[in-house]
Amino acid sequence: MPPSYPTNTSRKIVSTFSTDPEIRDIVVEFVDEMPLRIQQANEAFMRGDRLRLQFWAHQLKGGATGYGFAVITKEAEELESAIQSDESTERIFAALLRVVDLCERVSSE
Amino acid sequence: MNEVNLPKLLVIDDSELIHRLLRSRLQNERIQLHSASSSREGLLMARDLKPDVILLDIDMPDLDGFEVIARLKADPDTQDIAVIFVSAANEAGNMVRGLDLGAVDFIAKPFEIVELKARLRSALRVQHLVRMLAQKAQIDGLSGLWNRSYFDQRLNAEFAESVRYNKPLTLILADIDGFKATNDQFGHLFGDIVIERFANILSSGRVSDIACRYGGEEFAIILPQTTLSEALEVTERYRAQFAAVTWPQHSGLSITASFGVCDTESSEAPPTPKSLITSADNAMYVAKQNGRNRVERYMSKVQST
Repeated sequence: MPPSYPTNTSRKIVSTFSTDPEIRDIVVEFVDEMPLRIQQANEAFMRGDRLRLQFWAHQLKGGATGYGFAVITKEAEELESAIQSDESTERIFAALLRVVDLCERVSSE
Repeated sequence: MNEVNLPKLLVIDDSELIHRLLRSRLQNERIQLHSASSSREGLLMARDLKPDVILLDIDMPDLDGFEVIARLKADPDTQDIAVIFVSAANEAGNMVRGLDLGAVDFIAKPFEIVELKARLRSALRVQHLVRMLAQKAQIDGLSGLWNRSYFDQRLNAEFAESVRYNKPLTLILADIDGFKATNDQFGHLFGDIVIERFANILSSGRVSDIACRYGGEEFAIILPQTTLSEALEVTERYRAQFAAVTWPQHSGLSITASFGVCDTESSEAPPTPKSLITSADNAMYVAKQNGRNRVERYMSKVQST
């Protein structure tokens, strides 16, 4: 069974760069790719592949702020840190839930 | 400034998100942007491209950024590239280690793009000045050609390259005939004009040829990937051009030069940079003995062209 995430799309998170012409196009791409990105995290967690999940969190941590989603960077850092500290699966899952919750709510406008 | 002359920036980062972001964010900067998505790819690109600045991630799976910078600094071809670490591994220890290994700056991820651009511009400015200084130290003030120290260094490098890729390499040595007498008769200021004019002709060849002032009135030209017969043609052109120069200050005066040419095939076996110089010098000596204003090539027995 894949993990079930609470669905919360009521409060969308709009990129702080949504009107920045320099990167508007890639912000749209970033948002469009988010379902696939969430799926990748989901699969890594299901397989118990902590290394891949850590890499996933690490990339979001480094990149999300640049796309106008600083709030994701913060939670992704928590997730990466939980994996690095070899926390329990429950704690990692909780951290993952928080990142995914934010990722599901991203919007480019 | 055309595209080719723009400073080169290489980004080494395993995150496609970062590459995409930087491509967009730096699209209006006057730079050529290149991307490597792994450390090993980055090291190869650094050798090929010789970028001015590298933005280097620390946390990468194949080799981390510290290992990458250590390898860059250990390689003479890449050691002068300015490296800026851009990393989410923001502990003070990492910054200190990065700077101690030779990085010029450290930018924390997530970065403020305005700050990144400013730091990048600053690194490019400094790099430009450093390279200008280094180049100035290797240029002969009077002739504007490369100086002896650069010649020695470059001949060694080109020789190693020719051995590695089994490509021909040719060396020309040239000496202005009767230069001392010209100086004595017409003065040193005119002697300087003669040197400048000769240097001007020697530097008019292909972009890949490396014309240097070897010392006094002697000059050397390194011709990478050039066969002896190609080099002889070029040399004959230089000889004829110089002999045809008219000197408005002294009407009717003709000044000539003698040339010795040698390639890695014909120099003494086994060829070395030193034997190449000795052989070309011997050929030039024969050109002098055979009446000056001549081109001679070195073989096991020197023959006239």
